[in-house]
Amino acid sequence: MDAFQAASDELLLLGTRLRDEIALAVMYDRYGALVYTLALRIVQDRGLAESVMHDVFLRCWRGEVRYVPSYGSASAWLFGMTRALALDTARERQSGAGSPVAGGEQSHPEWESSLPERGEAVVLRAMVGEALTVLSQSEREAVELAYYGGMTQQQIADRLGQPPSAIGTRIRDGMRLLCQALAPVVATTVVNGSGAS
Amino acid sequence: MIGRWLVRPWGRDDTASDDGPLDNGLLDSSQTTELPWERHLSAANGYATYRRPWEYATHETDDADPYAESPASPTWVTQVDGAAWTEEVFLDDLTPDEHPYPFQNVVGSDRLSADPSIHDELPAHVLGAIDEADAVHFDAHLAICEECQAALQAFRHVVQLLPYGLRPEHPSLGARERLLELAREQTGRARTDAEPASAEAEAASTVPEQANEVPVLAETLPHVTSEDPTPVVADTVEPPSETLPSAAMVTEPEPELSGGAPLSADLTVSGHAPELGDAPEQSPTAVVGAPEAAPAPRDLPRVTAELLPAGSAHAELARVSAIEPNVSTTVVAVYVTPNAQGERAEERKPGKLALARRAESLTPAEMIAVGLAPLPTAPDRPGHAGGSRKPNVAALVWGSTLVFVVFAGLMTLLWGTAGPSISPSVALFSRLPGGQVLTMRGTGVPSASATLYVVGNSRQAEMSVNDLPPLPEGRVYQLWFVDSAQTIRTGGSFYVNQQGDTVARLTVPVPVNQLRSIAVTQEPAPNSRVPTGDHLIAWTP
Repeated sequence: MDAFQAASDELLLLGTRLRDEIALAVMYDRYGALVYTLALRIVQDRGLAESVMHDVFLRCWRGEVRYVPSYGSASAWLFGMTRALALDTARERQSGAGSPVAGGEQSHPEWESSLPERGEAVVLRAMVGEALTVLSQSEREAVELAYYGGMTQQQIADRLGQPPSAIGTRIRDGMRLLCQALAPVVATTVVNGSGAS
Repeated sequence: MIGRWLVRPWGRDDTASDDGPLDNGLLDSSQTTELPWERHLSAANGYATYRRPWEYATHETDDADPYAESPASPTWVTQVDGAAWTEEVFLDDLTPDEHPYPFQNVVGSDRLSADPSIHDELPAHVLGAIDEADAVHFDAHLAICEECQAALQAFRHVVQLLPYGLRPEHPSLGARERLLELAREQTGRARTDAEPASAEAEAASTVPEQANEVPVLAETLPHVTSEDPTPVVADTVEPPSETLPSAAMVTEPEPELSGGAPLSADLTVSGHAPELGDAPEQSPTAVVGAPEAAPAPRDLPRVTAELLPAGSAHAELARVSAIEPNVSTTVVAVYVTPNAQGERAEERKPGKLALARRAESLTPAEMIAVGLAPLPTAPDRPGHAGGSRKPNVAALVWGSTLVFVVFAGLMTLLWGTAGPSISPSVALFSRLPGGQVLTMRGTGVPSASATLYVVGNSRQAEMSVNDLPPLPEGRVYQLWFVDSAQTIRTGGSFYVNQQGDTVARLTVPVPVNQLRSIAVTQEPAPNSRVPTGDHLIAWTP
């Protein structure tokens, strides 16, 4: 198990695809909470978020999806899949019945962390959290509606009652600010990504 | 016969068939055949071009020529979202004379490249926030715009990092167990149709639904027992010795496996390999080296070996001869996967298995890591060609379900050979705030140095070592930490390459702020309990 803990994400993904339960479990320990957090932010419902999360990992398990290094890091790939599945789920539900449940619920009280968060995740969390504070409220809102809401600029403009050009500007400025703030991480990630190919 | 020309938007293959063609060209849309066009966006001439496979063209010549009526005006007008621009259209790499149709020189203008504000769309595009039709436009622009291409990766990575900005949420307590149950259920379903498995076997093993990764029973050979100290760093894992297969098939080590020769590892893979017969493509293969999905560590080749069945149940894997001997330590994972037509697990005949009694307890895909022993001396050093060092090929077969062993800690040592003496994650950590960088200076060896990168508040660290002298045979470097109570703790042992460099990942045994000194010594055996050598490199606050 310790060896698994030290294994790279890519290797764990491979192990998962090859139906190695321990690889799956370690993968979950590493990214389950992050995947869940992302899914919850998008679908705004704990039950649905959990099923999205399960879906993400089970797709890896069944080998339906394969990680391609050219996409970027394995975690980025996981997040991309999570976002896509969660957006699908959210749209499905919206077209069906019910309205979005308000977010911001507390964590499950019975949850307790059994694993310390990995050093990289801690660092990235701090970096991204700080980078987001650089954005103005409206810039952040536009970026988040695009990413977590899966909305186009036009849809965001309609929703906020703003001209599309203004939304475009906010997204552009916001993304550029993020890019600057995250430059050290992003540059390194690029190095890692290209090293894989 | 010519039909409706379907132009697939570049990079969006799936949408074209659903949404219908974006380009009907000048052709009569009442005609029916849809022929796929591959869109090539050429940065060279600044125009988008469409190509299509040659065979379509040849088919067309047999029938009505759509251009027969107007050979002089073969302009294609592409309609995308109401904006028209003409396209250069030509068939693959043919000279004008060879063209069946004279429409090769039609060059239009790409309105996209003329729109200066298109660059601004990039961030929204990366976020997926522009309309589908605009996305098609932007893809075309992206293919010819070096400026946007350069920025694309950075924006993409920013987007990929966004989830880290969310307030952490946690799934319910049982989510993990449910996931594992679901995984078991999904793999078990395939088997229960064919073979009612005992509950025990069900719990212990999983069977793939598809046949492309079917288990081949595999065992490695414990040439060296697991008591041998596995070389390396602090997080090295040693296999529990009681789980070593007692019935492992053993082959003799290759006679040339002495120092200086390429490292080899012999594997005996036992299992009901599909008969070769007239279907050689069905033979299973084993891949030795970095797994395909992982970034290959530097200089670690990947060897694919076909398992040659002896009988139907026994095969020997090729030597891992391509691994450079001067890689101080390496670990390879061996993945044994039959090819696409491999057998389903329920078709295995236990009687044929050399290790039949283990058959039910193995995971579908065997993954066995083989630790290759360090060669503590440079291979080209004179005087050891006839050495008798034994390769430390430890068989690591873990328990009933675990056959997947990875030594990431060992993996990090692979950077020592030639290239940068700093691994990507070191590069990451060193740029981030909060981490600590402890520079150790040569004391016993003035030219040597080492740098310890500690991640944030954690104790995870990577150490980059430079210019230590090559180790004499049988010696090893060891890292020591001394805390404020003067307790000495080891940080693990390591070897260096010919240049005296290495990179290792380790866990600092005490909080960094309690460290009083760090030192590197040369020791007679890996993971010595107390330092005996001089301080070669040292750090003090």
